[in-house]
Amino acid sequence: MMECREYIKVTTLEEALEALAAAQSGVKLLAGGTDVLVNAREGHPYRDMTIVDIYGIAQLCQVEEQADWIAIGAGATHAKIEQSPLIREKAGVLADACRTVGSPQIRNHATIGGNLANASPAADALAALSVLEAEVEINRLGNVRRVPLGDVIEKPYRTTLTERDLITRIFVKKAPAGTRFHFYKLGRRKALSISRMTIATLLHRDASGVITQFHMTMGATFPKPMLFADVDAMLIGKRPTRADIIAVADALSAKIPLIAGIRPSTAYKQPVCNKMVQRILNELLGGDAE
Amino acid sequence: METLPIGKSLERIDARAKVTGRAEYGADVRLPDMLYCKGVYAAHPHAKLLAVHTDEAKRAEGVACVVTGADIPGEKMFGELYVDQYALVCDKTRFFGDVIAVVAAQTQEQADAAADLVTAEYEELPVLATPQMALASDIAINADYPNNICGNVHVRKGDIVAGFQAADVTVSGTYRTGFVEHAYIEPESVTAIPDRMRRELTVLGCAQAPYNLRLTVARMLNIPIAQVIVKPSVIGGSFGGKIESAESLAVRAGLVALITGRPAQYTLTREDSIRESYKRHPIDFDIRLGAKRDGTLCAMQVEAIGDAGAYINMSPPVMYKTATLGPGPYLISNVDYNATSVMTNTVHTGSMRGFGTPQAIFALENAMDELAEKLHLTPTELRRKNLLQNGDVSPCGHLLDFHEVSIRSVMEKAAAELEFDDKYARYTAENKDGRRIRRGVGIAVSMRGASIGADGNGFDVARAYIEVLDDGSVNVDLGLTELGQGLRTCQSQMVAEGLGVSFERICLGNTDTSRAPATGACIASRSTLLGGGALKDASIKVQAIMARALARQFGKSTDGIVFREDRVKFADIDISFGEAAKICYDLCETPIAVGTYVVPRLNWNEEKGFGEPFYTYTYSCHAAEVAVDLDTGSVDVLKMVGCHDMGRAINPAMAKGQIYGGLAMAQGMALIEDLGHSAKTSALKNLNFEDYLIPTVLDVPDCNVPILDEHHDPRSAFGGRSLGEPATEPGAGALLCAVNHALGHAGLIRELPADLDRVFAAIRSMEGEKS
Ligand SMILES: Cc1cc2nc3c(=O)[nH]c(=O)nc-3n(C[C@H](O)[C@H](O)[C@H](O)COP(=O)(O)OP(=O)(O)OC[C@H]3O[C@@H](n4cnc5c(N)ncnc54)[C@H](O)[C@@H]3O)c2cc1C
Repeated sequence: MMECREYIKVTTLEEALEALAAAQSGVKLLAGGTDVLVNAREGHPYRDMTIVDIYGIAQLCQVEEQADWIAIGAGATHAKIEQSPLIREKAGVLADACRTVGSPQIRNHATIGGNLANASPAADALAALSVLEAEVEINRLGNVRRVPLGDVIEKPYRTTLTERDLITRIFVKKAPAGTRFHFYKLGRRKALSISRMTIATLLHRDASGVITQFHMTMGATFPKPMLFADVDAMLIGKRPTRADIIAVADALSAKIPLIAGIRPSTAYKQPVCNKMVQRILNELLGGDAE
Repeated sequence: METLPIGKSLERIDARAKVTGRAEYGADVRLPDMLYCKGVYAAHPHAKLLAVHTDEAKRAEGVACVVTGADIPGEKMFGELYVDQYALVCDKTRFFGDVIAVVAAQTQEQADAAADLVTAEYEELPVLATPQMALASDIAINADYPNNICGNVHVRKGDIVAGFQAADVTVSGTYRTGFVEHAYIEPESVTAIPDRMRRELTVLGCAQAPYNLRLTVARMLNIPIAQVIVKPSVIGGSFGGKIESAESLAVRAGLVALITGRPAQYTLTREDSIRESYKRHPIDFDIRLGAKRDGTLCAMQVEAIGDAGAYINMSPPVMYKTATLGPGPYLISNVDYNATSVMTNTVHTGSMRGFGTPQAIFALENAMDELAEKLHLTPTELRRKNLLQNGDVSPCGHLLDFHEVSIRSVMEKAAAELEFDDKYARYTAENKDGRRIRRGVGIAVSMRGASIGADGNGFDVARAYIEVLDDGSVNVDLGLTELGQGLRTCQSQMVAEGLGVSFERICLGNTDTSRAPATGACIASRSTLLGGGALKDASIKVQAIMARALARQFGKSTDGIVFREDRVKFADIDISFGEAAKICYDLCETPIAVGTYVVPRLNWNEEKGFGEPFYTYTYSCHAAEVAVDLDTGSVDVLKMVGCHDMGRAINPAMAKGQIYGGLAMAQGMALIEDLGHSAKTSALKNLNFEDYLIPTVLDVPDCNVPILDEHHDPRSAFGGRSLGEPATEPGAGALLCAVNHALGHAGLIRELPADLDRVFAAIRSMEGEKS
């Protein structure tokens, strides 16, 4: 049972902002609750808090196409994203990531906003959002700002948001036609599995096979979502060879001890990352690399 | 019209209530004035308990009482065979799951909050977290067992030294398994209800062994046995896990109920359940096998050390099964199998589906594959050379001349279904081409003694009560419990066949110890054999009473009377069963009987570790196919086949259900299940299903195949013997044989679970060796 000081259910964005403005210190947003209610089982973290339940606000659940971006409501569920034809076509790596979350029950109920704001390093949407150069729209009591994903998540389970910041939308860059996406999740079992590592890849080649766009990064590995310009640059402008692929694999996997430090899991993650990066790039390049 | 009920896949009598949510489980029970209980766990896994302070908790809101070990009026300890377990610690804590006080309050939340207010003083003792530490220590966890050894069974046959001298080839090495949690869906819950007239308790909830629970409550709370009435609720799975675990809860809740005069419910959270309930034994095996050049086995030597944990629980009989069934279904003249259990300050270990054999079969069957590799034989070739046949003597010395020794047919059927021989050759060849995802197949065989075995000589008994009513309906009171396995349906089918009536006449109600005669419990895969025997005996007695009434009624001899398909026939009389029943009541006869079945005494020599360890056996084979990703260490199970000769399948659909479940359980044990035991502190890290991973529906292949290879057993009243435990017994072994085949080295991975890290490390060591 979740204990709290006060529980407010809102049904519109305006009501949500009002509730956030009116609440005394100690406010907690509740979306699908699949993280919040789990946290509530340990100790009594929300006993002195006002819970503002924003689940199901229609304005927060849209998926809209804009000129260069897709705007995804923070309240959109993983199932909705996974099934959106727009996202599947132009930001497919996110649909693939959302498809790996939990189980059908969780995907039907849990939201992408919650996944992001909970800031678990193992949150499956994050690596996919990174390669889509995601930006986050935040509404603080009526003032709207838009910030890059990497600036919202500070470290594991810590964001730069205040308790009155409401994520309204997440913007992902539309990828040009012909872009290849790949999302890989490594877990201990095939469902309801906390990722040991994820690898998200976005790759575009022109008609001559030269790579024009490339992002590849890992999830469940670093303290916050990260892209690596130096690694991405290794393939851009090239028709990659076997050696290029190995170089990317070496460079990406070398980020693990560099950024996360050497931990007991490094002995496993670093070599696995190296092998999987090679495998994924070989697959995406269709064996074209010599 | 065919009405013979056995062998039909009749619908389970509890199916609809369960799928519609009408079934009442332990924690669904709600009674007026009921209190809710919460246990306070030991802060140290090995410490003298100097004082427990409960005053503050007693004053907390809603609290009705707080009890400690000092409040237990009767015996302070319990246990089925060895009385050494605290329901509430009195003087010394032995593991993190020990409970030092119980708080009872108006609501669960109040009980939980007040439990946090209980404090205690300890004098810490060194923590012996592993058998190695316990064996090396001069501190005794239980003073009665100064060297911390609490069970040893040593099977010996032939001359082990000569056996190895005669061998052309030997293999040896160590295999290890980990703790495994039963992972029943329903965590433990019991409700104790005090009687308003006298010192009497009724206990509802998840009791797998209600008569044992009754005895424990009677002894510890000083109540005559007849005044403890146990009525198990619908039980959501047990797998051996709700025996002692339910008893300690019943004692604690019963104590609260007696002190307060109010019903008390005690429900464990998942975390508390995993913390305090016993597990499957981790066992280390040092194994050595010797064979002739042609593959004929000539010697097997095994030294097995099991972790008993903090309480003896079932460790000695578990070691009995490890030692007597660990040698497998092979013809072998020289055997030395020594199994020892060692007490530690870790969670105790006890009954769990398989009871010491899934571990042993895993070790043996992987060692067999090592031997096959050395002899350049395939796994099936080596096994075909050595499997038992009719008239052979088992590895423990049992002459198998009383039933069909079907293990060869069982293995061939499993192998054929998986296309084992073909795939073994194909994958062996294709895996050499440098591919990163490799497939492998494995096969493992076992024979399992039905029921308890010779270590239960003289007390392996079942009783059942049958009452024919005057409308021809049949009331059956049976103390063997429905745990979700379908027992009530199967036992009803056996009564129907025993009495010669249709299934619909049988009413086999919930167990109630005040109505059903005391019986050995639903454990040890014994209920079909033992329950069947008792029901048959009761059926014959009831039929004799009915025959006497009919002879009186018709003035004719009933010699050769036949009860069959709802008709009763003798002389020139042919009447319905219902008419016959009515006649009994019209004549004031009493068509009621209690049936008894006792397993005959087995000729087992305990000192020499030789003889007849069990009355009869089920033969089993599991075959598994996997894909192993060399780049990540992940193992994908592609297909498993389970073939079993359980004698006769009383209800084939439910028999297959046992096999499907057994295969999934084996998969979890083999590949992912890990309690996160700390070899330093003895704590368990993975206390819920977020951390303790079991296979999901996506992990278990859709294409698993159960096969029933039936050969009716003349030693069983209705031809059926055991399946519950056999259904999971060889699975982990088969899976690891398959993983090791995929990796190209028999015996490469020797420790369970073969999870991502362990498989990946093995691949690295293998690839390191090559380069
Ligand atoms: C059984 C189970 C399996 C799971 N499996 C996975 C998995 O495989 N992969 C994975 O990534 N996750 C998994 N999760 C975690 C969880 O489901 C996801 O993180 C989910 O996306 C959280 O969304 P929610 O709507 O339930 O968030 P909530 O629990 O409601 O909220 C989570 C956090 O986000 C904040 N928040 C929510 N919405 C907003 C908003 N609009 N603006 C600002 N802050 C907000 C909340 O205050 C809270 O701090 C699993 C959870 C469970 C229980």
